[in-house]
Amino acid sequence: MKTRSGILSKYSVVQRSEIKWAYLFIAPQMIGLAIFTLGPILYAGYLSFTKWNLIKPPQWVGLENYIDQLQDPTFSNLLKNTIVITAGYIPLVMIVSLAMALALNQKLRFTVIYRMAYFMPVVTSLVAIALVWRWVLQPDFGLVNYLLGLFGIDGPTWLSSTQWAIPGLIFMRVWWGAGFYMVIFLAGLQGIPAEYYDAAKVDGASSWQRFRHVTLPLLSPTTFFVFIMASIWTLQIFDQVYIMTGGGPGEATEVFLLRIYELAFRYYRMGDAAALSMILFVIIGCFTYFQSRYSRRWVHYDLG
Amino acid sequence: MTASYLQRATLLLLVAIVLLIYVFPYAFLVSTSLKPPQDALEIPPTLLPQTISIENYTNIGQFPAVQRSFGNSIIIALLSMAISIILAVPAAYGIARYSTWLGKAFLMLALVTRLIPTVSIGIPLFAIMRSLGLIDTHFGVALAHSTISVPLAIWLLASFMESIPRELDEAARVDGCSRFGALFRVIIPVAAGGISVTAIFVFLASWNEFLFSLLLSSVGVKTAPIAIAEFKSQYGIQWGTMTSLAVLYSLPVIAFSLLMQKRIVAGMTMGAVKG
Repeated sequence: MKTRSGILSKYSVVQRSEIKWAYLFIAPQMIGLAIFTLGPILYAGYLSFTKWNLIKPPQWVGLENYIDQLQDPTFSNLLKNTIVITAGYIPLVMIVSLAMALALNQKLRFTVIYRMAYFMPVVTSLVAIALVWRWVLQPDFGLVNYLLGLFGIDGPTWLSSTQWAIPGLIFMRVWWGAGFYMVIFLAGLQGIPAEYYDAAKVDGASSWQRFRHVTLPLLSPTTFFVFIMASIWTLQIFDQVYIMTGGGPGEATEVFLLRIYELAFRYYRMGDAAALSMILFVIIGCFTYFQSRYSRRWVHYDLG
Repeated sequence: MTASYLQRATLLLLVAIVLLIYVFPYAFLVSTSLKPPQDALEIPPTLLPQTISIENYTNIGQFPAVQRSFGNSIIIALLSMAISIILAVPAAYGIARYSTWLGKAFLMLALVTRLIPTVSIGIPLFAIMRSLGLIDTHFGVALAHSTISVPLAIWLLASFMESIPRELDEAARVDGCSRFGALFRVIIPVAAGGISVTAIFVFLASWNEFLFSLLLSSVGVKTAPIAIAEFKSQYGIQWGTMTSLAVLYSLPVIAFSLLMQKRIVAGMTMGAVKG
């Protein structure tokens, strides 16, 4: 790493004035970032130590909000639901999207059409998708229960059942998100040099062995990226639950962000909401940190 | 050889089944929107309309608030597009042309901020917007959307600008252009294609955004996704009208994405594979 003055001293006076231009170009948007992103993050940290109902000015209460939130009887339910959704979703979406990427990486015809189809849910707004999925999961005439009925299975009531609401959300989320991760896996697969496969073929490796010993290890940085991003985004699940179930039935699908939203904008308990969002932030931070450390055991940046 | 043909056939069959699972919901949405309103609630529903009717679309006229929400979404998306491009073009140029400490720090920050829960930013952002008097205004919502899209726009634009040869702006400088002159007279015209792709990207990000719109708009500037999501509770179950709204709302997005598939894929995988 070069120090800043180290970089500057390498340039002539003319070039130094050029660097001022660079700062001038970047500065306006840095100020924007400071006011509307970094500022709010710090402000949220401050608010989490206060009681504030938007009317009276914030009042410092120390750690009270944190203690309240952690001791709240709903906390363990939030944690459980968020973890169950994440733990159910991640393996499913990773397997489905990797399988789709592997299939599309073969030289099939009409690849563009497949890719576009899988990709459509990624660009379409959740609001439109939710509309269709409410019908797909509708207990009496929905598509899923109709198909189950063909096999003589009496389908559950999905989103209105305390037991099946979370699996319903997970299936929908896999359908929704797989296209995005498929695109990323596909890019990773196309980055694996063909020579490795040729060499493995010469050595007489079967297609399963090539997958197991060439594709998987060389894809592991991409797999890791997908794993981390999918986890972070799912721990922060909001729109989908808000639109599909609103946290119900009862509190069966109540998750962190929904609770934070309700605390802040239904009950105007801004301090409690900020404290809970900080708790979630810490959970996500710890998760990411431990996964990155653990990842050294299975993420390879080269064969060997 | 026969085995590999068999494998290939199985593969194609599987891909086709998954394709069906993906296309079906969209096809059903469009098909329902084209049924007469009373048929939309049929149990069990038919896959194709018995008679084609545009009544679901003309019925939207009965809901002026929902119509206004589409107008709001367009205004907010255009504003957010303007804000993002004005901020991102010079920043991307600065980052692409000089490898400075600030530029690198920014690119890292832009990635890190994507990991922070939107709601944690939402609460203080609500407070800031409130004290600036920007709650329930087009500009306020557009500004909030820009906090998401500016970093993305810079990532995209910087990669476009890196592909423009440096000799081009150096030649302009020799001819007596200032740095700003070189940016406006040479780089921006050359990068116009990349800038317009980025602009469409930013427009779509704002068009689809849900959480900030929910927090920062109430009656006045409600955006289309919020209005559609609230439609059921406000007007009872009008399944037919809802599907026609959803079609109208998704159509521009799907049309643009089909046109720019390659660019979107490039934008999505950026940072994923390199990092």
